[in-house]
Amino acid sequence: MPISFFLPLTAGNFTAYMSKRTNDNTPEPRVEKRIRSNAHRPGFRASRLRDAEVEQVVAEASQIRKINTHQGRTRSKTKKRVHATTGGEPNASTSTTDASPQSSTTIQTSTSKATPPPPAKRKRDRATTQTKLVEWLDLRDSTLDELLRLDGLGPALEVSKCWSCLTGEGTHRCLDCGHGTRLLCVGCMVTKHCELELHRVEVSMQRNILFYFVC
Amino acid sequence: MLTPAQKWNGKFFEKTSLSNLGLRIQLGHDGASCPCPCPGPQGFMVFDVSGAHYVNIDYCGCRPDDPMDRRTQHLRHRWFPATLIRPQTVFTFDFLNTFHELTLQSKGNLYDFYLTILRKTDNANITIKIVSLFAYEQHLLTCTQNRFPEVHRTFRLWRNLMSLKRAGRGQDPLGVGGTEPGGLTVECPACPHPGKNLPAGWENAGALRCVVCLDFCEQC
Repeated sequence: MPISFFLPLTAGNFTAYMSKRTNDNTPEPRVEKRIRSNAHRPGFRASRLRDAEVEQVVAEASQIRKINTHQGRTRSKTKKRVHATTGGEPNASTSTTDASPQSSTTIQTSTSKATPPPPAKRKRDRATTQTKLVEWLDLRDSTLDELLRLDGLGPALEVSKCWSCLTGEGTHRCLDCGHGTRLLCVGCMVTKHCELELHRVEVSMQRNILFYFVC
Repeated sequence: MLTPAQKWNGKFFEKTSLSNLGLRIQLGHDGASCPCPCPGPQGFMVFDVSGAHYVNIDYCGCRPDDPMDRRTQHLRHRWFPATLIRPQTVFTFDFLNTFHELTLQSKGNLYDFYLTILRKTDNANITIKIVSLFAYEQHLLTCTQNRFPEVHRTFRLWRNLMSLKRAGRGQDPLGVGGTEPGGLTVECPACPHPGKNLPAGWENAGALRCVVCLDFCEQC
C-alpha cells in the first residue's frame, strides 16, 4: 500500500502533469495557505478563527475525511485529477483554441474553481493538528455531556438495586473496577474488594445526586 | 483489565498481559456481552497510569448506522480517544487527570510524564516497542509508533473540557458555544470588587481611595 500511495509523487508522473498544463502564468489556488497563515499571527485572539472560517474549515476537513474513508488511500491521485478535469469542464479544452485574451481570462477563473488543488500535497498536509482541533469543536458539547453523565448515575439511573446480588440497595460504586458505573450494595462492595483494598469507592447519598468519595 | 500480569516460564516471571491470555474487552454494554460484536483494530493501545497496554477490544455493533457511536462507547468506558474516527489509541481519564494535577502542582511537562509512563511500562525498552524520542534511539523511530503528538493534542482537549466543566457550561442551555469571552476564568478574590470586598462609600475616599481598597482587601 505505501508504494502505490507514493506513486503519484514520482518524478515521471509529476513531469507528465507539468506537460499537460497550459503555458499561462496563473498561480495555483492554495487552500491550506489561509489556515496556516493564522498560526503565525501573534496573540490568542488573532489566531482564533471566526465563525464563518470555522465552518469552512470544518467542511474542508469533512471532505478530506470522505476522500480518506470512501476512496481509500491506495487510489492514485492522478486518476482523481483526470476524472475531475474531463468530467468537470468540457468547454475548457475547446475554448482554449480560440486564443482570444478576453476568453482566456474567463477560462482561467473557471478552471481554477473547478479543478482541485495540485496533487503535490503530502499526507501530513491533509490532516494537521489544527485541522483536527477545529474538527473537534463540534464535539465539545457531546463530550462534555458524556463527562457529566459519568459524574452522575449514568446507566444506573433507572436501576436502584445492587448489580451483583440484585437484592440490596445499590448506593456505592468503585471507580477502578466495572468502569465506575456499576452500583453495588455495601456488603457486595466489601466482599469484592477483599483483595483490591486500594480501589477508590464512591457513595451516592441520595438518588440523582452526585457521588462523593468514601474516606 | 489493564493490570499487568506475569507468567512463570520455569526460570523467572516474565511480563505478559491479559490480552495475550485471550481477554477481549467488550465496549458499549457496560461490561456485558454484545449480541453482535465488531472486532476493533489490531494493535489498539491504552495509556493508563499503570503503563501503556495493548488490548483487544470489541465494539458494540447494535447500531452500525451511527459512526459517532464508537466514540461514545470509548467515552463511557472512561477512555478518551486520540482521534475522532477509527481511533487506535485511547487515554484513560485517570491518565489525563493525573497529569493535570501533576502539572498544576509541580509544573511538570507532558514529555517527562509521557516518558515516565513508558519507563514504567518497560524500563529497558525490551519487550514492547512503543515509543522513544531519545537521541540514541533514533533508529527505532522508523519502526516504532510514537504517540507523543496524540498525547499532546488530547491533553489540550482535556484541559479545555475541564475548564468548560468547572465553569458550568454543561448545565447551560446555550452549551459550549454560548461561552462569553472570559467566561472560563476564575475571579480573583484578592482584587477589589465593589459590592463584594469593598466597604460602603469607598468612592468618597478621594485621594485615599487606593489605600482604602488595598487595606480592606488585605483584611478579607
